[in-house]
Amino acid sequence: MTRRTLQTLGLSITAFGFLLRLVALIRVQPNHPDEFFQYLEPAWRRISGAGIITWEWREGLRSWVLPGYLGAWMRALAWLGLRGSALGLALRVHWVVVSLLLVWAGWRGGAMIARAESIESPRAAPSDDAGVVGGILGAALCAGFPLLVTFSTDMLTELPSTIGVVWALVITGELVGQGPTASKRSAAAIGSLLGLGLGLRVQHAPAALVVGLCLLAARRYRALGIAFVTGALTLGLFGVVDWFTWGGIFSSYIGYVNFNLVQGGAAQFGVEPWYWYGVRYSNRLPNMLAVLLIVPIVGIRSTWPFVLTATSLLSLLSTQPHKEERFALLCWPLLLIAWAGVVGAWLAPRLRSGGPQRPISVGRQIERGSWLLACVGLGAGILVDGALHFQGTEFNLPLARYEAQGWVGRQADASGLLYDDLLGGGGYLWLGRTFPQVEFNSSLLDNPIFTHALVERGSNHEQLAKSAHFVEVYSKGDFVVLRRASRL
Amino acid sequence: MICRLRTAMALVAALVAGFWVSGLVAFASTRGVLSVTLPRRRPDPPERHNLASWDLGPTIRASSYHDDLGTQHHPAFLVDGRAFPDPIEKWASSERDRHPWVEISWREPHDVDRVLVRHAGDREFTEYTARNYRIRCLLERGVGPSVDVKDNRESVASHAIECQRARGVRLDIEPNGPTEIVRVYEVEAWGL
Repeated sequence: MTRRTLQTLGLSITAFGFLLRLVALIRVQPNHPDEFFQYLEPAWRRISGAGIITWEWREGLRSWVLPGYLGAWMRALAWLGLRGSALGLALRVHWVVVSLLLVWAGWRGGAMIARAESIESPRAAPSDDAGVVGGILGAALCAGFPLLVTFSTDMLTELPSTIGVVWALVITGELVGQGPTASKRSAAAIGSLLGLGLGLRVQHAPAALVVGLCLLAARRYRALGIAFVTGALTLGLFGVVDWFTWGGIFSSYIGYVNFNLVQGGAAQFGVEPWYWYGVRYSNRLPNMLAVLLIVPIVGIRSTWPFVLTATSLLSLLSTQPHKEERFALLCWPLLLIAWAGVVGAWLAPRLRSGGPQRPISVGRQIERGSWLLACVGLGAGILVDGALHFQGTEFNLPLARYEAQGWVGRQADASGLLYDDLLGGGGYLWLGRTFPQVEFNSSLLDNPIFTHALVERGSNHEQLAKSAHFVEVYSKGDFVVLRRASRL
Repeated sequence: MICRLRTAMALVAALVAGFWVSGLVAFASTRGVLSVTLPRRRPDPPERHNLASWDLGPTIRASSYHDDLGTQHHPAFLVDGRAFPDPIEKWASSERDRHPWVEISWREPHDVDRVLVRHAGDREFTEYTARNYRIRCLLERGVGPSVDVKDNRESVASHAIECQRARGVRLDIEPNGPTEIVRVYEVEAWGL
């Protein structure tokens, strides 16, 4: 394949991933209220003075790094006149663009593993065919895997941390494959990316151990040293941000670990059995999970850093009482990339043509087509199985409620909103106004400041509001907005 | 072609980064103060009236508010005119705010003669009533006359203040203790 063809292919896969994510943004409900109340709302509150504060922020258990990053975008986008739900949507689109870095990592990772695997294979492809095939498969799987697509719209720490860790593992693999001439820049990038990944999600720490092990096994001591120093410096920045914002270096991390691990506070949010992630994974891919797991194990000599990171993270998370699917998001791209690399290495020599002097026979062409079809079919099977068994996430956060909330924010005569489920909305950022939005309370129906109520159609709240002379003015899906009749 | 594409992409990336860094500087230097302006529902009556009433479209600014998920004691509650409010319908300052203040301003200048403050002691525990505070009159430019209140024990405290062409009033309230917050149900500013 020519360089131009490869670039076109890469751009097409990225565009495919982008389109899928845009569809998810418009059609799929947000995965977690933490997106709004742990990261967006604190930033918005700092800007506007209005916002709901969760107990984690009251206790200082959250770092300001991600809200700071998002807050900078909020200020910048506000200069373009964006506010309320339009601002929220623009931020989510930006997040989708950021998430495409994972597609690129899928390409590079799939190619890296395929190259490493084909060198070790007796049927090694003579050129970079394996890398190309592995790269295409890796990028396509990362672009289209449903769970990655939906989590790519959520501004949670998991996604940027996953991007950092996956890139760090990919560059580590490339560095090891380069031989002793490996650049210092790559080593520095590994450290910085790991520092970023761990700073955002300390639970991803096993990845740092695996990278260290990988560099040690390849005797890249100098690279290990550089990665360690840059990683420590990057992590140190998170500590400095804590010092400025909470008054103590790494104070939010210390508080977080103290609450969740030492005091066992995580159990307050639910206790699941140790095998919960296994059940969840098999529910996500009931037909293709075995295929996704077996292939990387077959190519374990090349995939071990990816497989070891995924298994050690899952083991660590399984020891914790409280479990959520997003905590283990990192495992999916690692397994998908490992799968793509091994299959790429295996498929490439089977697709090899005889060259211009030796035209290949019809039988050989059929054989090539069959191999290609089988491998692409398996990859597509993983995506389709994931799409067919996408059952939503732990929270019921209907999109219609966010749209209704955004609509109230655009009403000039609104001065207060009674809300049936505050956690099911986008907070003050999504409202775009500073007037009170308070959890529905029938005694507040008499308060003249509350002009609007957002409730579920047919609910008791709706009846109470109507009996207090509120009338329906807007509806979306299962939700209605009622307005105080005397103001009509 | 590829070279030109790369140059264009680098330029776009630099512009985006510059845009974001400008936003970061603005964000870091921001300390948002809650300000809410209620829609005006009726014109001011010709007789003496409560200038801070919710339906005259006042603007309320506050240094902070207690903004827990279930209990948001928003400063807009200060002007809702509720005779028998629910405990949620009060302004409460944040625990971290050791110098709480609130400003209520109206749309045109008016002469103020009295400010009435309904403290939490009126509806809850008497010790919730703010002891020490200062009421200041806000003018078109700067600050007008003020009243310093010391060791207040009245849960509904009425303070005379003569202020011509006032645009609003400001209350600087000292919390009753180092870990206490401020709780006020209503502020009324009477005048013409």
